[in-house]
Amino acid sequence: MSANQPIMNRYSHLAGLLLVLGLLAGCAGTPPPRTIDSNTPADVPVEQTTANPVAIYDPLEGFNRRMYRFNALADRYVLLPAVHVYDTVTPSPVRTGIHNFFNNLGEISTFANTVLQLKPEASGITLSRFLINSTLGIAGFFDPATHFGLARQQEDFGQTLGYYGMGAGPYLVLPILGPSDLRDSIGLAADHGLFYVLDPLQLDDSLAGRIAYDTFYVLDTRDNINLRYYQTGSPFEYILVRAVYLNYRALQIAD
Amino acid sequence: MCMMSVLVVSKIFNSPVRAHYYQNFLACLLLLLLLTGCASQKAAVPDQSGPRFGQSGAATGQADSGAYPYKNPMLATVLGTPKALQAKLPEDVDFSVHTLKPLVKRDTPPTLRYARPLQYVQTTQDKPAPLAFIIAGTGDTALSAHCILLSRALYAVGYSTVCLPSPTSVTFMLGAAEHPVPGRMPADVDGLYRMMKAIRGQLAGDGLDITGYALTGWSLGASEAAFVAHRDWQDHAFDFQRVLLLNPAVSLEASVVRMDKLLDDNLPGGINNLPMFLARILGDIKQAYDEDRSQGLSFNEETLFEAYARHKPDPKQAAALIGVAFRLALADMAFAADELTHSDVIVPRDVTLGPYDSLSLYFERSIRMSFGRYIHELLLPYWNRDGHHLDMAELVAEDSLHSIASFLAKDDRIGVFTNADDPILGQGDVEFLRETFGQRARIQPYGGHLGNLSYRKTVRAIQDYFSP
Repeated sequence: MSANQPIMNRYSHLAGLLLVLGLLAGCAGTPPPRTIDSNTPADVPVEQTTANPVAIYDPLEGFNRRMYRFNALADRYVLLPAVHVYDTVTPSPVRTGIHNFFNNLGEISTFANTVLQLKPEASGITLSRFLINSTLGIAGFFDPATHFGLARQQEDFGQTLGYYGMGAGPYLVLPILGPSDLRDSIGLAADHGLFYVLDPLQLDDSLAGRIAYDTFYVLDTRDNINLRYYQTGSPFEYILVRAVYLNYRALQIAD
Repeated sequence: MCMMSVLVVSKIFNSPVRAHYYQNFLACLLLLLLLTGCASQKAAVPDQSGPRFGQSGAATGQADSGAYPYKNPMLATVLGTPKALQAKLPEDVDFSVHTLKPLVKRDTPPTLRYARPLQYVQTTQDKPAPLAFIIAGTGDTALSAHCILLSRALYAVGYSTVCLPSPTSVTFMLGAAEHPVPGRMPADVDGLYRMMKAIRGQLAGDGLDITGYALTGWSLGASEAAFVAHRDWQDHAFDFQRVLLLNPAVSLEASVVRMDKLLDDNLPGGINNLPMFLARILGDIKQAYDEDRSQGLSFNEETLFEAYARHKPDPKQAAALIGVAFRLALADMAFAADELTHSDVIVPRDVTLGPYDSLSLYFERSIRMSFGRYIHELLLPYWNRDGHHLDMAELVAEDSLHSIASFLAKDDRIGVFTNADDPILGQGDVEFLRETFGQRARIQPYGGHLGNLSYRKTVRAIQDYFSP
């Protein structure tokens, strides 16, 4: 509950930020993807949409491909072994609890973004989930809200920017984090910035707490991503993943 | 958040090491991944998270009766088996991914180095047990979802298992194939047999106590399993106790012609219109999803899939999807074959691609290649590169189960499971299987190509077949 009050105070800051970013994106961006519409093919040149896997705006392809490979190697030699240890030493119910805990904290930024996108129903669900899971769910380690029929919403600042018409911009492969685009990278920074500013766990006061939080956050996130690089077996995996990422985001934003 | 999106992308794949995975319909659809079996990647494993809104029962309207719901072969192939009708298999099977030293000496082109090393996927009983080899279908590696499904089914009835990549996968072409232009059955079977022996050597080194061997495979992998069994019947390296072919192609050439035709007949404007086709599907998904919003569904692949299944996609669209999925597997294979043999068909001979070069141009060229063109521009020229050794008629004959029909008819250790409406089979093919295998053929009226593989009755029949 206490965490939600500051959000409202910072709401105006975010709106201002949004405006600035929107202007920035106007320079940097391609038009918003318009493929997610049954009528699309009739009036939009398909070469300009995300539905053409090879027509995607990717001026940094050389950098992106290097980063993709770097991520694959980091994954194989660092992240996956660490996650393997995590899986081995932590019982499955504990891992589920930790996952629920991080999901529950994620509701804060989801809530902020449902508000920014003027989706009252999703805001209500998210707020209810946060309240129920933070109390009945014992600080979020359990997820009774889902059992009450409140499904977790997925809204982030990248989607909010898209909702207000900001184009995806060039495709970007981020270190460790993987597929993204300019808009979603900005969104990611904003979501994490919000969490950092609100600091609901008071991590500012404790270096050990911060390290523990970050460590478990990374382990939990990777643990719940069922990706193995190069598992498509295709020499064109980079192109395919790029198309899937951008189309999935376009669908999410159209939602 | 970005990580969430990565999560979504990731659901295309599954992690055999952890042996749990998710539905991935959307990702699958977008990627049109490899085989037609693609859609059943999402179907391969029952989700343990409990009931959700609008699940299967509503999606099919027939869950209660328990019959396989999709009577249209194209829909069956794309939609697979509704979750409520899937076999429940043990979740706690330990999968391990193992690496083999390359079986052939060859330089790796920078564009293909991702496909190293040569890997197989293993489950191991902790007591002496028979070992089942599982051969993947067109383009699939050992880490594919059907491999995981079959491994768990066979592990549950007492087998250790090893999944092998298809000879049509890039990793196999690079690391195991003496002739890296797949499609000639005797050569591909040579590579498989060699790899199986190498794995057996490695397992013996690990002290695994193997009490006997079994063999299975799906799709092209099933046809290959038949030829491997035939080879072993002469060589006796394994003396398979049981062999099961799951939805095999009877004549490889006829099957791939059929796949080319599926695409030509059902994709308006041909492969050049693929982006428009994709855009339309995305629009349909969005629309189907919007219609369900009243139920308060959250946005994820699972609910999107359910919405799409309820939406009853157009069979013509599903047929085109199957054609495109095969085409995508072929594009990988054709590109790799061209790179490995410098055939000058896709990548010009004087172009050397670096590891980070854009492949857009070559992707476009590869995806335009039909199976027919692959045979005439890559496969036959490779075998005839220094004289005339192989003509079309010979190739067609070699690649057909008819060539080993008498062996298949008399060896009662070999069985076949398929569906009468499997789109890779023609009318004569179903009759051929029925007559050749007799009592050892289990041919269901519906299910398309592997659509009913994870259906509980199919899995139980597979387990019964392999039980002592």
